[in-house]
Amino acid sequence: MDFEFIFRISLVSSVILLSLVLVLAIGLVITKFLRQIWAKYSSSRGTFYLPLILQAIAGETDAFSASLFRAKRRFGDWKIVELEILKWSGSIRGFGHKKLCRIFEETGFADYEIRRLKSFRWWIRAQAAQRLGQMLCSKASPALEQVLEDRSFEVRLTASWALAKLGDSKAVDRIVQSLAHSSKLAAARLTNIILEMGPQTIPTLKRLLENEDTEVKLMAIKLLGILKEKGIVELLAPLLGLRNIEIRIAVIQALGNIDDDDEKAAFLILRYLDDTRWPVRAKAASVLGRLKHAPAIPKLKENLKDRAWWVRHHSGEGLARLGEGGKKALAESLSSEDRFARETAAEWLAELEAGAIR
Amino acid sequence: MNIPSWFFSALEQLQAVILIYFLAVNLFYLILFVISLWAIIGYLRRISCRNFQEILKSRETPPISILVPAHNEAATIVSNVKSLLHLNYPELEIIVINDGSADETLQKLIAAFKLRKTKRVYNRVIPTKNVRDIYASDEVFPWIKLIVIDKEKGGKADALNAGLNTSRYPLFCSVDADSILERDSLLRVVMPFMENFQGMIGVGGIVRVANGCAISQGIVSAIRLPSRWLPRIQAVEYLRAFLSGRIAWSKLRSLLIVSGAFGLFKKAPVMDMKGYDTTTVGEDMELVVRLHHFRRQRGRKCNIELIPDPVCWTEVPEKFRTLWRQRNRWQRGLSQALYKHKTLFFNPKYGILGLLTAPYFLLVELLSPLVELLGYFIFLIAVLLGVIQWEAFAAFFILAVLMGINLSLLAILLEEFTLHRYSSVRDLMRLFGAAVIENLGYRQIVNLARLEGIVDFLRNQTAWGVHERTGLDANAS
Repeated sequence: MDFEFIFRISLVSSVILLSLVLVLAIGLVITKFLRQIWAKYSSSRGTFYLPLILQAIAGETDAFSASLFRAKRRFGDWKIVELEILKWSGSIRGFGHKKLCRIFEETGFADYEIRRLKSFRWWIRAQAAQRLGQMLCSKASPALEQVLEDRSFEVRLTASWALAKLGDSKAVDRIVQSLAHSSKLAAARLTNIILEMGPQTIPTLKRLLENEDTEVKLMAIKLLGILKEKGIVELLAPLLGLRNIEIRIAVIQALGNIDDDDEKAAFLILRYLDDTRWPVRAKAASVLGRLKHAPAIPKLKENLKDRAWWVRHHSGEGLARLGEGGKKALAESLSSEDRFARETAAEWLAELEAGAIR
Repeated sequence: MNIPSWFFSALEQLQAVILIYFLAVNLFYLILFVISLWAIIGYLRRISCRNFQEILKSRETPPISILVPAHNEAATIVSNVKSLLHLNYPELEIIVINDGSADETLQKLIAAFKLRKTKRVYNRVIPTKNVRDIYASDEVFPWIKLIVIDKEKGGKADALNAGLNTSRYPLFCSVDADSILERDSLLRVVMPFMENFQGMIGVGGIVRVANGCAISQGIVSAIRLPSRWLPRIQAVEYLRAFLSGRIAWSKLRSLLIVSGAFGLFKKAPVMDMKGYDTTTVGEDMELVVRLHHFRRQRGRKCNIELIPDPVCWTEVPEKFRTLWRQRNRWQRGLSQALYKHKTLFFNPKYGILGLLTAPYFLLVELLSPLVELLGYFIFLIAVLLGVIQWEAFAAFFILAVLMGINLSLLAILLEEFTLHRYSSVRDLMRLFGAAVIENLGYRQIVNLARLEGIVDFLRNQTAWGVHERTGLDANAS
């Protein structure tokens, strides 16, 4: 092997690389300068347009679209004004927001964003969907529905959020089915969507309880619980018999949200303090404590001896939340023959004394 | 002196091997750089569709237990815990583990947060040293629980295990007592879990150098470069390690290290493996390697990711002596982790991890100081024996330096191109300067420390280096 040759080659290549990197560095320094200049320029143009936008919101001038860009339109104004409107729409509510949305449509930004929904770059499509939702552009509804089938998960997610913003309840079924599998992120957005749309989604969700798919089912259980729909106790009860532990836990959690006077939900949960799996027992104990369900006291006291640490912990916590009756049960457990029960009871009595339980 | 001719030919061969090693490693770094660039751009686009308010308000956001092991941190512990209280997150539990401190760490915590002693039953799932008492505070915010565990000294891994035993949430975040988190850091690192809760096991973020930044009330209020050269060079080092190294490995789904300074993990799989290993000095890396190793062995998914967002600021050593000990310890930790999981190497069962990542860590991360120093030594000998001209030695040195500078510059460019956290052009220039100086002396000395780390590993030493803290509040201005 020609040693000198390798040497020369490597030296030359690293010098070339270094010069390349230096050119890049200089380029970046220049772009940094440019970015700073642009930030300054756009903020000054923003302040120029701000009074015009505010005037239009206040209704002083209706022909905003015409007047806006007549006033000595300059380079980059379109982008600057759009961002300014989007920024303001986040902090204005009610009438002002509606007006702002109208301005957004009339000035042509809505059409522009609908066109951007067809971009071949997914992040542009997602951004467009997001802006259309934020500006409540009802004319974008059909375009957004098309995008629900997009290749990109991000675009689907944003589009379904936008549709929900527009109050399109037809979409719920499709949204739940397409998002339940995706992720917690989708679930989070879904929860927000459902909360925003409110009780009108309940019939759809009830129907989804019968879906074969466990994930869809879980999602529907959770959402019904969040909506605190009282009529679901009967619907959810049979699901407690299912072997899937996640479903049992979700049902107990959902039932815990329901605020019924005859405590039907609580009596249903009570049985699951004896479940064969410890996570279910622990969940049931914690929910019953939160519901302040006094008939659970004897069973909770018994569960202070459970083999699983978390069951003992939550049973103790549950008793501590159950007022005088629970406190008495804890005090009695101090003289239990079981060491676990004694320790757990002492722990929660101390918490009660310190005022840490409310 | 009579030197046999085979010696000369061996010397020449060795030179060629070292040169080729250098070229190959640098070429590989370049590939990693390109992958990183691609990964970061993809991430920035994805994150632009996210809404942090939504995560903050959602019930789907999993609650997090933050574990803060503390050993003799009396000087800084209170301000550090206060900084954690400022985190933006819906539901949190902060568990400080006082690992047998000889100073007033515990007393300061009790006084500052009005802690009360509880009778909480310690759930010893993972065996740890004795827990003396568990304290709780009712004085902090309603959505944050503060728990302090007072235990006998057992090392950082043991302290983390005690925290794991006490934590109640499905995710836990290990945080060094000297690191400062960004307010939104948890919202950012929880994002991959939100995207894919089933498969995700752990997420890390980028750790940056806090020295020089203005810090008020435990929050980095102005980002500035360190004024001294030693921490400034480390700032470049951190950029390079995180931005163009680990991001690429994460993209290749074989990230082998999530910094102990800040990492979010799912609790169940870590509990299944009995938590952190108390016999190693690099428990953060060992945990990640073990998760990959054992989960993949059983055919389970193991996604461990690094997000390119800077989430955590840490104080780096300002003295050469502490830096030396730190690097020695890192290298020992690396050696231990790789040795313990040696069955990963070149094992096609583990895919990219076995065929590329593990060998890379062995041949580059572990052995590069040895090869580089050997290179200088061999070339020097060759010059002395007259086998090559001294110009050739100079050329080798220049080559090594140029390649090093290139890599650092690329990392700085990557940061400037994508995240641009350092606002002034002057800071950028200073970073360039540090990238040059780093390769003229600093790198060689650090390599010596790393070499010593390997030697210490071979001699089976596990003593920890002590990191002298100056206290970050000292920089506040």
